[in-house]
Amino acid sequence: MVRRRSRLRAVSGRTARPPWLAAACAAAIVLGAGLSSAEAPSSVPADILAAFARPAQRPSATKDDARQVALGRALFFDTRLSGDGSLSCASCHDPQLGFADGVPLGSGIAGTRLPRHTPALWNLAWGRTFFWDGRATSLESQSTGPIENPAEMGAKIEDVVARLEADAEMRAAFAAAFPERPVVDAVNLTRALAAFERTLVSPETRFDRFVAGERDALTTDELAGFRLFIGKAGCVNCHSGWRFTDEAFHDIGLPGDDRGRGATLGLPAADHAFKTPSLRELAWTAPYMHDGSLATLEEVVAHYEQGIVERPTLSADLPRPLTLTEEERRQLVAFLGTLSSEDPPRPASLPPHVEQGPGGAGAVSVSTVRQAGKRFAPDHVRIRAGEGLTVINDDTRTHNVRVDDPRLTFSSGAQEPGDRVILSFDEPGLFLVTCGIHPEMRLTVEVAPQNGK
Amino acid sequence: MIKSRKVWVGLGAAVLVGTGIGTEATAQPLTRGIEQAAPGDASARQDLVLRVAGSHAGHAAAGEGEGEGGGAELAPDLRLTRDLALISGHLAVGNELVEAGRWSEATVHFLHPAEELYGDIAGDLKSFGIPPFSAALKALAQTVKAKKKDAYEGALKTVRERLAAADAAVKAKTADWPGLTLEAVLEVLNTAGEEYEAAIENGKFKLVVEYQDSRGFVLQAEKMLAAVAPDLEKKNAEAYAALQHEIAELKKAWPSVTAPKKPVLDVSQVLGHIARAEIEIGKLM
Repeated sequence: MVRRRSRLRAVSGRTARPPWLAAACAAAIVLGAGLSSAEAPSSVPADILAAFARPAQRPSATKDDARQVALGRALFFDTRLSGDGSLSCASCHDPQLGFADGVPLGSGIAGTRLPRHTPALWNLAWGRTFFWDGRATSLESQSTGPIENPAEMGAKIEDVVARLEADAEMRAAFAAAFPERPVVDAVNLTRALAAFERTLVSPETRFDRFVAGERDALTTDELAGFRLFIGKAGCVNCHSGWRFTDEAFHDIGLPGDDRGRGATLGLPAADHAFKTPSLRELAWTAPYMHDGSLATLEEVVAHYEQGIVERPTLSADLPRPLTLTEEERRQLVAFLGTLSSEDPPRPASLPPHVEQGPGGAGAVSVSTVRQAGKRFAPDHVRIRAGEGLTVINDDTRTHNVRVDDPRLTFSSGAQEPGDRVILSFDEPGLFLVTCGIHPEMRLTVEVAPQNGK
Repeated sequence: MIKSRKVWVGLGAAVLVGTGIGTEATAQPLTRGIEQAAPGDASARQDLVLRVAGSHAGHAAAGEGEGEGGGAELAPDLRLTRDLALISGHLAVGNELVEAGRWSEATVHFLHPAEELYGDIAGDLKSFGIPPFSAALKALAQTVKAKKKDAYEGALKTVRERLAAADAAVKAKTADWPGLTLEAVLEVLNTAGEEYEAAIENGKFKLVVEYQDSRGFVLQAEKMLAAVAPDLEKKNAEAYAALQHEIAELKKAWPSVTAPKKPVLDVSQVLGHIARAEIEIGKLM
């Protein structure tokens, strides 16, 4: 399929493309031709794969001060940023849910139903515009939008600043993060939030390994799906580059009267156009589309085949007509799955969670037990009552540290890789620690009396 | 994971337990090896242990039993139906905990299907033309970790639709769906028995997750039977009523999603009910 020029870009007069866009488009033009079904995985042309190669470093990586990132992270989870103190950025952009919220339309302050689906926050460091309609041109300017939106966090920025300024720890954190202008104010607040958000880079996936040269990283079906993606199905027309977005705005024919980019620009030709979302970590960020109306990737594919609402503003990049076989649909969805982490993605800038079990707070840890390979190692430890025992998940999978004993009942919940649980036992005796997910994991803790007792 | 399938029954029942499935109405003599009881609850030691070495006629090759996630020797349709049911069982008990606001406890039951079961059925799903749903399962577990009710409900709906579609796909390729359901119910009940046994040490629940797992499996088995109830009643109303009675008695072992301080039924009683349910299932085949 030959890539067609976007009608929207044509009408909006964006003839001079920035370098990043030129690169993406050049790649897409190559890709638009697709791969022949006869090509073996090893014969995928290098220039096609190069168009999907991850960059070595994110933009601003060297400029973002670690203290600004740490402050931004703290602010991201701080409910003082909302008018009534009930919501933080993370309330809707939940790290557990791929920095989205898992519902078609989220709820703002006082339960107000929001008009658009909460977008995930992956790879915003490369973004050019923000929000579904692109009305913000920097992460810094974007960050105050939800805070001040009456339907979202419903706060006044000056009130937020006042609340933060009243907190001595926050004043110190702001001073440390911005030594050249050590004040708690809206500018530094948005700079810190943006610095943190720029660190939310989606982890490498099997597709990245494939692009990097590991040719058996994709199954036959997934590779066939990749061919469809860049060929017959025409997905790459908009979902181009390693982030799988052209950063442009398209009307893809979803029903509804939301004018999207058209309202932002005051341009009827851009009505119903919304920013192309990245496809990274898609599996963790359902439902899909700006209105959250499609629950599954199968529904997304079905939309492009038979759900498009006819309108004059429809994107010229939509593959029309599109008819796929059942097998092709399955292959396409299989390929899309390779753009997501196998396990819940966690950005490096989010530190592991440390959970204190009953009695664990303040207990000095004297022993560490590891969990790699679905085994407690060691599987038998001796500690004294009141001492701490750290159980660290150095495995690649989620565990659940638990004690089901009349003397002590404890469950850690989901203990993700990297997370630590600190246990302490008040009374002597033998205790069995298990993993609720892998019951064959057993740790015997022999608790001796405290010294002198 | 328990590799052997044991059926603990009272002496009187033991002589009646037969291959069950594949027989018409009448219980058959024992064809399974009998060995002396040893492990588990002390009260069971006077009972017989029947180590199931036989197969389910028409579906499975001979081989020693299976625990959750096992069963490579079973026919693909039975194996898949069983494992789909076990996934549903996990979700059922997990959902009970979520409904009770016990999100942290529920988490393991939503992680278990993807972690322990899905890998074994991925190939079978493809064979039956069923779209994979690993990502949906994992995404569901994330909503539980996040304790987000709205997101959870949406993700659960998606997974349940996937499971229903998978069942429908198997059903479409199966000549005797009620029969396959019965066999799968027996597999699920046996797994429940194994989990229940694993949950108890020294007469107390030491592994609460296993108690909850087994509860979910029995609830799912009951649901599966209800789905084919008209067929079963038509075939042998008396046997179906007896089967329902055994399930009802069996369910008393799980008075709630919270494990009781002391088992209501000991292991031998639970496995005895399952064995008697197997007899009735045999009559319904």
